[in-house]
Amino acid sequence: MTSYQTLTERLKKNPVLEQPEQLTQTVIERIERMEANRLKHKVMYIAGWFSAVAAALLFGLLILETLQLPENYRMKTEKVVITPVTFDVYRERAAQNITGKRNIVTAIIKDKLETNRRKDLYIKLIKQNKTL
Amino acid sequence: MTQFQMRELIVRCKQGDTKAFGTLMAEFQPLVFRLAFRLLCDDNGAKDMVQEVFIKVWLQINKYNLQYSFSTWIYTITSHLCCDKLRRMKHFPESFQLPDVFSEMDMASSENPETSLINHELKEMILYFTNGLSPKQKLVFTLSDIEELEVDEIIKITGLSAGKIKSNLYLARKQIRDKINAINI
Repeated sequence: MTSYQTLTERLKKNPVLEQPEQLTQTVIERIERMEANRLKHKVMYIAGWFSAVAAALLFGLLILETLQLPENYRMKTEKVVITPVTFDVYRERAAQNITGKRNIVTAIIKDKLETNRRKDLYIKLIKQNKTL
Repeated sequence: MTQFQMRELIVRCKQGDTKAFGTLMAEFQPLVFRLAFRLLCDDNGAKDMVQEVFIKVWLQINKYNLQYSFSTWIYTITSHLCCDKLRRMKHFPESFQLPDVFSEMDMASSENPETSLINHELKEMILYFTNGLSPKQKLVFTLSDIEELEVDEIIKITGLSAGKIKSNLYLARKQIRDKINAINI
């Protein structure tokens, strides 16, 4: 008669591992191979990282050249060539300057004339007072 | 091996010393083989599992906390890998089945026929009694009734709650008892 207890006792019997040293050796060899590969991968990873940084810098430079140089070129050409549109702007500005200056001069003249008129009036009044 | 010596070996392994790892492996190899054999019921499968477990141990040795028991950690890795394999075997049985002729040839090619006979008998017995169990039930039964581990340790190894361990163990024992009764009748 087999009981649960006797069965578990029989199952507790340990299985035999043949050539355990060989198995250990195989695992160690696999680990050493893996470590060598890992080192190789590490070098590859670092190299890959540097190439990525270099590629990103080059790409940035390319974008900078594409966007910034034509802007400078446009600015340079703007100084040399005066298009009808820009000419109108300059003429308008010049016209504004002239009217402004004229206004100031007329104001100064008006002011001087007014002072002279007041001066004459004061003199007249003083003379009248003296005769009285 | 004392606890101090083992700690020293683990520290050396963490620094990349393969010789120390060889010593550590020699110490824990029987434990891993025993558990893998009992769960997979396959001599060669258990040997492959030993390799797989120790490679995983080597790769994750830096994550191992020295405060905890190393054997519990090894048990955890082994049981996880074995359960994964059992689940895969359940889903794709055709990719794991070997022809009977092959296993007989394997037995004949073994250096020691006595040891292969012991393993064969044990395998047949485990296979017969634990065949209908789920991977979890098989694992809990093996750890509790065959490896005789404490419930706390089984909780740490399997990650299951005490209640789940109890229920899985109850179902496993019931199924095995039914099979024993069937033989006795």
